[in-house]
Amino acid sequence: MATTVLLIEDEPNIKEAVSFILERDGCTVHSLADGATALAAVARHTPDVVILDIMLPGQSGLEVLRRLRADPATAGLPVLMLTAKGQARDRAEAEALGVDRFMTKPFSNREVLAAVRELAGP
Amino acid sequence: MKGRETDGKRKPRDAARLLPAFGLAAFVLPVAWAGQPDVRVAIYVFLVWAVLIGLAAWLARRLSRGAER
Amino acid sequence: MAVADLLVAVCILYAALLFAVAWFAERRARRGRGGWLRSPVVYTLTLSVYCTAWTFYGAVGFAARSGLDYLTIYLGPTLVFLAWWWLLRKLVRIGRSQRLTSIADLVSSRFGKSDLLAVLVTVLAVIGTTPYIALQLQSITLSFAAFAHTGPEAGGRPGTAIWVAAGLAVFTILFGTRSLDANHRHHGVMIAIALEAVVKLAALVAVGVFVVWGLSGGLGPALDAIDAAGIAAPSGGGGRWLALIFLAAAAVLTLPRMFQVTVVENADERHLATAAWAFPLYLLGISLFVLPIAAAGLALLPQGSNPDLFVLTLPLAADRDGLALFAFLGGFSSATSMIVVAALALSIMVSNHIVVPLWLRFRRDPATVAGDLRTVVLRARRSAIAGVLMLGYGYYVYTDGTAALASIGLISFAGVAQILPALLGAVYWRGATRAGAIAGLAAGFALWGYTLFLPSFGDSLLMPAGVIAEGPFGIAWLRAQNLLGTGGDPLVHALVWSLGANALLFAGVSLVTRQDGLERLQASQFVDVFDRAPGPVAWSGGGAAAWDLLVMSQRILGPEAAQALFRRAARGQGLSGDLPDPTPDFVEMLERELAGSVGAAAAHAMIRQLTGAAAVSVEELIAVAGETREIMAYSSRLEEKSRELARTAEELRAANEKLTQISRQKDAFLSQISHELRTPMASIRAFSEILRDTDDLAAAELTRFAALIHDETLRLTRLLDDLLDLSVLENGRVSLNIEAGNLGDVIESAVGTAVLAPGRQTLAIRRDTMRETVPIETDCGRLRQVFINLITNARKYCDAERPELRIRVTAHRGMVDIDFIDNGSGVPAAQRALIFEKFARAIEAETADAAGGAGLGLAICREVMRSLGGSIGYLPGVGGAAFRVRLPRRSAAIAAQ
Repeated sequence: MATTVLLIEDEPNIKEAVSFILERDGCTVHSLADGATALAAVARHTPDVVILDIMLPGQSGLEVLRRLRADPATAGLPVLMLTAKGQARDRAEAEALGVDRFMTKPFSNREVLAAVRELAGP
Repeated sequence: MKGRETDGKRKPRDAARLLPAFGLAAFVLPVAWAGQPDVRVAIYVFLVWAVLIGLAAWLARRLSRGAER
Repeated sequence: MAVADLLVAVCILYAALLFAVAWFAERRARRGRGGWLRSPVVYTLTLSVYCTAWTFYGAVGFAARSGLDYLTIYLGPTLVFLAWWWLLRKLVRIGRSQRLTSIADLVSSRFGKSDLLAVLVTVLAVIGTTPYIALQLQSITLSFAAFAHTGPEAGGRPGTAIWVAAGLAVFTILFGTRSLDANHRHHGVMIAIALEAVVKLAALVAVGVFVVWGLSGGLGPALDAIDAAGIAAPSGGGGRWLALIFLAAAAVLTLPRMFQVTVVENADERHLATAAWAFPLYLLGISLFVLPIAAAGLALLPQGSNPDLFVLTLPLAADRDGLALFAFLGGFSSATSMIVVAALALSIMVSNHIVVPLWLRFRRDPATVAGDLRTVVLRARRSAIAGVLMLGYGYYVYTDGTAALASIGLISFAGVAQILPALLGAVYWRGATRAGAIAGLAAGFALWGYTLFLPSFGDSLLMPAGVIAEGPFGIAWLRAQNLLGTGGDPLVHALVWSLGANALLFAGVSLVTRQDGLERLQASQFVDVFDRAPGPVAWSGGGAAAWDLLVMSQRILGPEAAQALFRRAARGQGLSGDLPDPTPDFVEMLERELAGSVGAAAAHAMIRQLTGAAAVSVEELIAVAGETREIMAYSSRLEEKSRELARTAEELRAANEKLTQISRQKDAFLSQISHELRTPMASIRAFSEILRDTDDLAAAELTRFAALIHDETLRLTRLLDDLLDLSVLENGRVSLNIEAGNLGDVIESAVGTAVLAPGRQTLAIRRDTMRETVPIETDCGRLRQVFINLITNARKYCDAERPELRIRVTAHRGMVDIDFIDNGSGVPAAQRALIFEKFARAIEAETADAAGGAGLGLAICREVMRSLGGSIGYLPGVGGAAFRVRLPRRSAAIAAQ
């Protein structure tokens, strides 16, 4: 069964690039541009991996992560964070919230792919 | 009206101020008769005295009535 | 000695009557039923204490010796009482408002509450009064002797005098020292005095009537007898006549006992209106029969009879013992009333001005010292009464009763008349100074003593006859009765020299010396007494605990009175307790109350010791006022400074806030730069890796990805351009392309571009193109950049359901305002100061702006407008987000700067 990935990213070009890479690897990618819709989508259908940007319109990526972790249904959901704000503060906060993997932009496609494969598990 | 009223008050006051001077002038007169003992000198002094007392009584009544008002 | 025993018995009975009357009056007064005790008639009768034994016996002697001269003694006071409206009334008013206790108190109080002046006047009064008291004792002794021996030979028994003196001392102490407060009237004494006044007038009139109609045989023969005796004209020259009138007028004002009855014992100022005519009438009545009695005595009694005793010896010679007894009682009344009031007045002066100040000097702290000041003062007063009477008795024994009654009286008059210049100056001359008063009094006192008092003893140790005749050390021009070779009547001589020097020195020294503050205050309190409400006199710096003041007041006023006074004051201040706050007002009031008991100077000194406040000088007052003003100025300067500081602090705080924000902005700026650079770079890297690693890409995909990479590099370039642009603008190195144009065209172009640009929302734009037709000279390209930015912002951020932007143009002289107002919720107040900073949006960086943009727009707008010579600002209070662009119509000059 194909790995389902929920990609939450507001930058259309990055969204396109990440989706392209993951879909070529056989993942099913749902991409959304903001946190609120993403949370709703997760509630409907739990993906295997979530890729989360920090800078989002409305709720920030960190807020989305907090909510995911707060909900028992999604508390264990593997989350990969991608951010252009490469600041240590954001990374620390994300890790405190229980992020599984934290990557800064620009990222290596191979690393993203490897991370998703790893997080999706066996 | 007001002017007359203050006049009516002021005049007894002025008279009261002048009365001792008037009395002194009247009492100086016997000096001229010094050395000419005549009982009329004494009678004059007592008469002046009595008149002064009368005037003082009249003025005092006017003044104290004015002051009460 | 049956007659003598009878006389003693009558005297004792009469004294018992006086005691009873006095006791009765005191009791009535204490029960508050003494209304009639304070009637104008009683007041007038007490004034008759002026008429002493000197009048009763001496006037006849005076007339027998010097003719009409005796009248001057009554004409002077008559003139003074005719002047009641402007003289006595003022004295009484001042006496009441200042709570004066004596003539010494008046002089001392007026001249800055001077202890020295008080002592000087007191000593003068004691020395001046002592012979007078001796005179009274002498007259009683003489009358006693005349009655007992029914013979003309004078020769008293000193034993009589000492018994009389002792009896009077007891009476005076009993009724004169019941209360400390001198303003608490001595009803008992006064009513006894009034009774005696009636007795002596009635006695003299009775003798007169008997002489005229009984002895002389009617009015006509009596007048003839006067003519025959040659006593119906002034004896000496006009100078003596006038001098005597003046002397008597001065004496009625300055005699301590007269001040006592006229001013201190006065219960109601209006009584003066009655006394003004009633007292002269009394004087007229008492002097009316003096001439007939003198004439009859000279005609009927044997040669060598003492004319001072005609009043008594005429009825005795006619065997009218009853009438003689009445006359004796009249003389007795005259003498005793004078002694009682004089001793009372002097004792108050001595205790208040000599004993209490000395006591205060030795007891530094009156509040804590053991013992009761009240008893000290009362004891002082009682001993003073006894002392004064002893002095009088001593004088009587020393002079052996030799001098004629009239001459002793005149010496006394001349002595106390020395107070007159200071008294009149105190009341009428604002500029009179303490130094002047002291100089005048001292000189007058000394000259009086030298030219009149000492020679009056005749050949004595104090001034041997040789000195009187030859002058001290044989210096002729220093002869006591012929100073500088002048001569004439010794009395007039002494009067002219002493009072002349006194008045001259008083005036002269006053002119060249200055008043201190308290003096100046008191001067205006005295001179302007009719112009002001009776007000506070003293000024005390406060600081006294109310309790200390109460302790002290109790010692003087007595516990009940003091506590009642304090309670009243506390009520007056609106306090519920029994202790008022020691405000300056209260301390002043208390000082006046105490002054009523112990005199102004002593009260002032006591309060001063307690409050620790020194006597206030005008310099101090001015200094205080100046200090106050300075303090006020200083405090206003301080306030100004503190306001300034507050402003500065506020500015600093704002600056700090801004710095902090700017610092945060800088962090955010870097973070934002990082984000803005990394985002396109992430795309570029991702797509270039795809291109590199993916072999089987469709041609379309290949093209698309390459195009995306291209777009992202353009985006990066744009960002770098903006940053450089801003940097150039901020550093003022921008080169402007100034051209003539029309504002409307620029707006049109900007709107077209902004609306066409990609964006999520549609924005309705409302313009008034008519008003936009404003010719401008500026860099139209840059201006357009600003407009585009503002319109784009509205498109991005207007959160209204139907976004709408109003562009409003208002042309002013030389300037034109272009407002961009949308219908959204606007920019929160807290952020308005920051939106023009670089990457302002990055502050709230947790939420990203989907529309992209690095947040440099408004910062660039601000720099553009600055270089165009205009400005851009947020326009609060118009609804949505509103920006005002202010542009000069001609930018060239400003841009060139």
